[in-house]
Amino acid sequence: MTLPDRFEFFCPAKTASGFKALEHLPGDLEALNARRPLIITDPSSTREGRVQQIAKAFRTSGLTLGVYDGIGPDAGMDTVKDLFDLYLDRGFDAILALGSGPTVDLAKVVNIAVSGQPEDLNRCQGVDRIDHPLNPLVFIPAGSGTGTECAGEASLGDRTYCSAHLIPDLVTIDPRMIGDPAPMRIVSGAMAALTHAAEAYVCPRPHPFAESYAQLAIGFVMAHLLDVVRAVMAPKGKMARLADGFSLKKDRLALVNAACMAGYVYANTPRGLAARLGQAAGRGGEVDPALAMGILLPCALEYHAHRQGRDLSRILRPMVGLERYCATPAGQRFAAAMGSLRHLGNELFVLTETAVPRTLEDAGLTRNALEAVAQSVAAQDPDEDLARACRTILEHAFDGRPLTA
Amino acid sequence: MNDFRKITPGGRPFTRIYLNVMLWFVGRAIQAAARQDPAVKREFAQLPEGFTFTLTAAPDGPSMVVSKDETGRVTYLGRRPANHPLNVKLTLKHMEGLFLLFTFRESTATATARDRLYVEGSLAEACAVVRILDIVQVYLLPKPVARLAVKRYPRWSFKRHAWDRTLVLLRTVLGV
Amino acid sequence: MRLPDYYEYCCRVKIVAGHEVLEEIPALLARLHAGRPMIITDPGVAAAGLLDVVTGALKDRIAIGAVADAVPPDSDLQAVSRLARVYGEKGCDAIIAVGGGSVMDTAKGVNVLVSEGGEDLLAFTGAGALKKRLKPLVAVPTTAGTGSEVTLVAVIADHENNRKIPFTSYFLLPDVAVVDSRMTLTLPDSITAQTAMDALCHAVEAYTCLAKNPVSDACALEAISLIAGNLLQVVENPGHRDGRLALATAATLAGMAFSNAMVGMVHTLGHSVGAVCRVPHGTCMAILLPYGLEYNMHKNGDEAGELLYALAGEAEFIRTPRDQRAQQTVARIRALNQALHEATGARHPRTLGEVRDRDGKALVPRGKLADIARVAQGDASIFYNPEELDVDDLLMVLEAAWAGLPLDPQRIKRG
Repeated sequence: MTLPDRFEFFCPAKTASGFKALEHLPGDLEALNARRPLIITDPSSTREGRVQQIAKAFRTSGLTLGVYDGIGPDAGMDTVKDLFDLYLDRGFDAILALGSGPTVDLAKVVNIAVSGQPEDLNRCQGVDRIDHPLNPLVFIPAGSGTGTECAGEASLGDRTYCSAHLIPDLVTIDPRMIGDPAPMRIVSGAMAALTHAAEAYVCPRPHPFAESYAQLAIGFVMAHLLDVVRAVMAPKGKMARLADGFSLKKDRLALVNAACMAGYVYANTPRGLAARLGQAAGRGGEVDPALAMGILLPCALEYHAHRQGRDLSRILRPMVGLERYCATPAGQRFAAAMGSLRHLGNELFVLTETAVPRTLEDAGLTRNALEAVAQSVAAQDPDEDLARACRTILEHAFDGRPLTA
Repeated sequence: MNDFRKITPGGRPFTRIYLNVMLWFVGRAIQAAARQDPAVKREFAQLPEGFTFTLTAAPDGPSMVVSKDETGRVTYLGRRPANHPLNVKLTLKHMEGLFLLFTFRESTATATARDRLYVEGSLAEACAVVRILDIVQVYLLPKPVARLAVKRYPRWSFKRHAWDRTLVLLRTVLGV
Repeated sequence: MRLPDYYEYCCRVKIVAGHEVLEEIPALLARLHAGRPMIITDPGVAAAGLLDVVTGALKDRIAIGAVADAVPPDSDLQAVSRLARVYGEKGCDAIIAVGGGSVMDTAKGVNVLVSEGGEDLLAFTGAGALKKRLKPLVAVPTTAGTGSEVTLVAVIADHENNRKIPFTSYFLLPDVAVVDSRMTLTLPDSITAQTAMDALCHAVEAYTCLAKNPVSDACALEAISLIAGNLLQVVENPGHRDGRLALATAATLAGMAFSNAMVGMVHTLGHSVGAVCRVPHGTCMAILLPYGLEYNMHKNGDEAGELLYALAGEAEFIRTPRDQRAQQTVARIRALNQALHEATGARHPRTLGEVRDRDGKALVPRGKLADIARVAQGDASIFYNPEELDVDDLLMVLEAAWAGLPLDPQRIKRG
């Protein structure tokens, strides 16, 4: 690898993952100089026993926990205001954000306010406007996130904040916290992680630090996603489910790790085309952006390889492991990688009884809508090549046609 | 704020009792082995006079303190003698870690590798303490369990396995 | 890619690497709300002209509060207090540490005193003694080896009581590591070899010892392939900028790996050879690395075998049957040492017996090996080694490394 002339990497989060990870929380909070944590989460966390598990892990710690479990789907600035008062009135000094996407975003927004002034919520909107470290924030994934929780981003309604200070100080991944969400959410989170990681792995400027994380995310998704979906979907008896439980826990733990790694990558690399197009395709609301990304990913990579003449064959390595990578002749590697990606997509389609789309058409997009999606991405960067690339990728992803030389 | 509540997590009284019993046992066994086993004797001989160490869990878990006095005699001092200066402190980050250790699900090496154990004080002396703990575990535990607790199960003479072990166990119980 | 039952990974340091990144330090400090840094470095760095490169890159862009260029090789409590006073007198608000391990450790110690106040660094030993962020610290490594720009440990000597005191805290981590290829461009070939082998050793041990985790593994592999792909080239052609950047990046990656996954018996023995016989750390690492792999091979042969890909490339990896890969990894490292020995005009020793000081006197007399083995028993890295090592095992390995003979597999006691 020839390194670029300049590169940087920043991941201030500590990751703690696995058996008894929760029990480390009190000590880790202490190390962040925090003693009064407030859990911010949604009602399902109490209903499904996650909050109680955290409380159990805090036995013998001598700490008390505040719990706010009222984050609903439409929580907004009112909730932020309530939590701001709660945090300051009761003297909390750290937030444990338990859950995924919107819950964590809201917790991050609360943290901006309580770490400075309420006005910061307006002042700090946009990119890189937070100029000081925030109070400690711990992210505890519940297994259905996309990994962007680990990135330096938060959005609430039409407000968006983007700053490395929003990256959690600590990410505690404990198998006991990984709930039982719908298979579609698992697939969607995994596809977002895979897309961000894969596009970072082959981005035109090689980046040794981001790549280290990216290959983990790719590897974990490719190795574990199908097993998870198979186990969750299979209509099995109670006993068989019980037997599956243990390996399912491990597989899901790997997927959550993948999402977090992808989140750290996301915080350090520019978005790729599949991610941007998927995001744009999802803007209308009828298509899940993460699933669209999964469909677009092979087409975008093929565009880079076949139309731009870039050699992306190395992406096979994290996908299938060193042994099988080496066994594949150099000239077949890229095709094999795309084969693996499409195999993954097709299997998911079958396993989920067609709920996971294989093409953008399956996903419910119309051919007429493609142009608008292409335009919205191409408009970010007035470049004729980009517009052409977007159109080509979208059309192939719409039909489910591989993009050839 | 209907959705807010405060939780004061309880203690773990039964785990605490179990760990106190185990630590008492191990503490007394170290004292016994220091009088009976040549390798443990040797280790203690190289430690300074007045050397004292503890094994405990944060923030105020069960603990044991063992000390070597001016005459070289090694004594188990109990759970937490007041104001005894410590040369080495081995701390599990949480009581669960100590529980994993004393239910033989994680060895000291595993606990260290999993960032559950930290050492304060002289590292060289801490290494000696871990070697002593390893030998004591081999004395106390049946072979299949001890194999989980140490990296390499030692090849001891029949005398050490049978005779010394009996005496260490007797001394542990009797405290002589 | 195995997910361990439990792991922790943390590297909070922002890394900025490239050919001309020193110039970015003023902006990086401004983001940390600092504008009057104190530069801490040692006489060697100053004499090599590197301090001038740094000040040249900073001048006009930031006011340098003070320059302290006399950090001794094993810095002690007095030196730290003295520098902390200078920092206060000159009204500095940040530290730029330019140097190798010793300078970094000193700067971390100074940062504790200037941030927490007081004169007594000893008050901050022990777990959890530091509770809050310290002053901004920018680390500029000049050796491409130690990785201390990303480690959370500082070892400071207490000469009065003849001991070394370790300080450990996430707060000791520098805020930014600025890895600039110009800082290593003038390293002499034997030092380049030593320091790169130090970094290689960090990566290999991180990958093969007990606290390994997926992130440290990925960093380690990346580091190994960068070193394997660039080291000989750079030793033969010291002005190779891209190669220098690759080695410096590898050292940082290896630092990220080992500060999380820790190291094993190569360091156990290497620290002790260094302490007893005053042999440079990197030299010990280079000589002992193959032995650490041989000794543990029955426990971690799979991992050692996987390293062959990063070390020797794809062709050799495929050509070597799976059950011989670990052996081949060892052979590759021995061959690398041999190649460095030849490329440096025999200044890179291959065995402990070959290590000489400037006057050509042997530094490691055979008679000292027993002492070294005894000291090694007190090195905490032994905890992380896959296989147990008692004093006889340590001596057996040292004897082999002294003579340059491979380990006799019959004499390795398997647990």
